[in-house]
Amino acid sequence: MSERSDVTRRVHPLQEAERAVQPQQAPRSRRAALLGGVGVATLAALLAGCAKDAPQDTWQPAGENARKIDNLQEPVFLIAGIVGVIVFATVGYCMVRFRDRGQDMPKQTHGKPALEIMLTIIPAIILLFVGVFTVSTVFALAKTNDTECIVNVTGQQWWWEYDYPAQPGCMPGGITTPIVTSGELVIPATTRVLLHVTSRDVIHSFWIPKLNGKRDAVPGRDQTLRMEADHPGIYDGQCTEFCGLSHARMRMAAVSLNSADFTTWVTNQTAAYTAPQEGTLAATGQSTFISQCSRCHQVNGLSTTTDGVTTPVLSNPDQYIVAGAAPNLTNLMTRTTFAGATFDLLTQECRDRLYNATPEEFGQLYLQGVTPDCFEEANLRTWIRNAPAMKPMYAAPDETVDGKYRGMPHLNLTENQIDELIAYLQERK
Amino acid sequence: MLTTGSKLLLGGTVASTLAALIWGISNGGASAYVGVIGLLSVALAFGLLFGVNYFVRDCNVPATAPDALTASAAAMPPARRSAWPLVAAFGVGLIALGAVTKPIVFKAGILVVLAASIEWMVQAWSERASSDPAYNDSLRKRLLHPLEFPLLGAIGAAILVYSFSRIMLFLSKEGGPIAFILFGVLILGFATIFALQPTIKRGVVVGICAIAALGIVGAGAAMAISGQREIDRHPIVNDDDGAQCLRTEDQIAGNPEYEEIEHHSSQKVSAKSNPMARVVLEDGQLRAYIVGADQPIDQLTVARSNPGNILFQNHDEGEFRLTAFAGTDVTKVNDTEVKVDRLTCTTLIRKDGEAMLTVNFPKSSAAAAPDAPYTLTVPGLEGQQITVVVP
Repeated sequence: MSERSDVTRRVHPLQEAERAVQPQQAPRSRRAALLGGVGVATLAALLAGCAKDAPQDTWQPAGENARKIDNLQEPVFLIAGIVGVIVFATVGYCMVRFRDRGQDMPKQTHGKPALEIMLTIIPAIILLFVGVFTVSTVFALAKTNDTECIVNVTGQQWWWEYDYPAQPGCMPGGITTPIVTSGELVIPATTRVLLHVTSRDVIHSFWIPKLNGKRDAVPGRDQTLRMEADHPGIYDGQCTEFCGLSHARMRMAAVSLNSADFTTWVTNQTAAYTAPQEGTLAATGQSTFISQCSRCHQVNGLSTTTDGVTTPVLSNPDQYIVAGAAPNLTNLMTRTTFAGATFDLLTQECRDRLYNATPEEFGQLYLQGVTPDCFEEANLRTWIRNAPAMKPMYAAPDETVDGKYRGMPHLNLTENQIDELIAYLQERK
Repeated sequence: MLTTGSKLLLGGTVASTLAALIWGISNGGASAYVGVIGLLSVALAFGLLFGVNYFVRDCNVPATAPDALTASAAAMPPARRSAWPLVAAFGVGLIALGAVTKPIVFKAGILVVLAASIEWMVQAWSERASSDPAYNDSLRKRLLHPLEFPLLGAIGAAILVYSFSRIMLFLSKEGGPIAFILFGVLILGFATIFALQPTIKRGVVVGICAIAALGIVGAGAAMAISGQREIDRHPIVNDDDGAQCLRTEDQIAGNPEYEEIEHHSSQKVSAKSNPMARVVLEDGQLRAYIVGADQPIDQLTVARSNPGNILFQNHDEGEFRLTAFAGTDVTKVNDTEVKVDRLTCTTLIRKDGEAMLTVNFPKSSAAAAPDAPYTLTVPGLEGQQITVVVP
C-alpha cells in the first residue's frame, strides 16, 4: 500500500460533522430554475451597461480629460476583468472538481516556493504597470498651467453657482465684465477650462462624468478641475458628495458652445437690464419681485426710483440663507433648468430637441433660451407656489438655522402674485 | 418548611411593619408620613425577598441530594477578598467631591464607580459559577481580560503621553527637541539591545521598562507642578474700528501693545494651505496671482458670502500688511449716521515672510460706493491696489 493511501484514509472531523448535517440535495428542476434566474439577472445587469441614452456615462468621454480617464480605466478594467475571470474560474473549477463526494481527506501540503514567488511577482508587475499609467494620468489631470479660461464654481445646498472673472481668456478679447450664473456651466468648446471649485456651506462634489472626474467642493479650499468639451452640446452631472436633504436634487450641467456662440452668450449675460414695459403684467411682476424675492435673489441692474432718486435693488441673502447666497436670476430664461438644474424650464419636446441637436445646430438652439412656445410654466409655477414641496430643503417647514433658511422657503404667495412673477421672470433673458 | 434565610427575611418584614405602625402612631406631621413610607418600603422589600426566597427554596439543600456537598450554592466556597468595594467607595467619594468642585472629578467618579461595579459583579458572579475556584477564576479572566487589557493599556499610554507632554511643555524651546531626540535614542537603543539579546532575563526587561515609565510619570508630575514655560501667543488683532489695519510700521513703533501684536505673529504659512489667490509685494508693486492665470491680475473675483484665504507674501525691505476693504457699514447712533469700514488685515509681515488673510465679502460689488470699490491694499504703499469684484 502506498504512502498516499495511508495518509488519505484519514477523514477530517469537520468532514464527518458536515456529512452528518448535510441536507438532501435539491431537486434538479429547482436547481435549474435557480441557475436560470441568476443567469437572467446577470445578463440584464450586463445589458444595462450597453444603454446608449446614458447622459452621465463615464464610459462615453466627450472631452480630453474624460478621455484620459477612459484611456486609463479601460485597460485597468480589462486587466481586472481578466484577473477576475481567472480567479473565479480557478475557484469554480476547484469547487466543482474537488467537492466533497465522500472521498477521503486529501494529502495536506505546505509551502511551494516557486508558486508563491510567481504569485507575488505577477501581481506586482500588474500593479506596477497600472501604477505608472495611473500616476501619469493623475499628473496630467492636475495640470493648471495650460488652461485658457477660468470659471469659479461654488457649491451650496443645493445648487451650483458659476462666476466668470474678468480675464483675457475664454474668448477672443476676453471677458471684461464678471458674470455670475447658476445651474448650467457654459464653456467654450475645445477650450481648456480651469474650474476653481469651492463651497459655501458643506462639502459637495462637482462631477460632469463625460468631461472629467469629480472634484470635492470644500469650504475654505480652492480646488481646481480641468474641463474641456470636444464639441457643442449639453453634459449632465450630479453632486456626488452627500450634502443634505436634497443632495439627490443637486444637479448640474455643462453647456459647451462654439467660440462665436460663447461670445454671444457672454454678450447676453452682460447686457444692460431691460425693464418691463409700463402697464404690463411683467411690470407689476417687477414690483412683486422687489417686495418678495429680491431679499435673496439678485437681478443685476434692477433699481427703484423714489422722489427722482434711483437706488439699485441689492439682495441680502447673507441675512436670510444659511449659505449666504441665492441664484442670480438676471438671465434666468437663458438657462434650461432651475432650482439646482433639477426642474425643466423647457417642455419635454423642446428639451429633447435641444439634447438631440447636432453640434452644429446646438448653439443657436441653446441661445434662443426659453421661448414662449417652449416654456414649461407648470414647473416654475409650482415652485414659486411652494418650493419646499418640490425640493425638500428642511426637515420641518418652519425650521431655520439662526433665523436663516437652507433653501427657498414657502412664501405663501397669492396666485395673482405668482402670475405676475412668472410674467416678469419670463422676460429675464 | 421555612428555611433559615426565609425566616430571617420574614422576621425583617414583620419587624419593619411593626416599626412603621409604632412610628406612625408615635409621630405626627410630615415626618410621620416620611417615616411610615420609608419603613413600609423596607417591609415591602423584605416581604418581596422573603417571597422569592420561600418559593425558590434558596439554600434549602436536601440531605439526600447527591451533589449537594459539592455543587449547590450553599456548598460554594465563601466569597474571596475583593478590593472593588473599596474602589467603588473611592469613586463615590470622587462623585461627592466633584459635585462641589470640578465636573471632571465628578465624571471620573462616575467612571470609577462604573468600572468597580462591573468588576465586582463579574467577580461575585464568577465565584459562584462552580465549585472549582480555578475554573471560576479563569471564567472571570475570560470575560474581563478583553476589556481590562485594552482599557488599562490605553490608560497607561495616556498617562505616559500626558506626562511626556508635561515634560516637553516645561522644557525650553531649545531643550525640547534635544529631550525628544534623547528619548528616541534611548528607546531605540534599549529596543536594539533587547532584540539582539533574546536570552536577556524577563525581569531585567520589565525592570528597565518600569523604571523608564516611572521616571517619565514622576518627571512629568514634577514638571507639571513647576508649570510650563512661557509660550508666545499668536496675536489677535482686535480691530473693531479698523484702525489697526491701516497702521504702518512707523506708526506702531514705540507702542508696546502694537509691537507685541505685530512682531510675534507667525511669518510662515503651511505648504498645505490652499489660498484662492496669492498677493505679492515686490519692488514696490502689488501683484495678485491665481492658479490657472499665467500673468498677474489686477482684479480679483471673489464669490460673495464665502470666506476665502488670500496668501500675502512680502519680498520688500520693511514690514507691510495686506488690508482688505469690504465696504462700509452705516449705522445710526442717536440719529447720527456712523460709518465704519469693514477692514480685515494681516499683521506686519517682514521681508520674505508670508501670512494668510481670510476675507469675506457678504455683499456684491454693486453695493459698494462707486468711488470706494472693494480692494486689497498695503497701507503706506501709494498707488498700489488690487480691486476685488464680487459678482
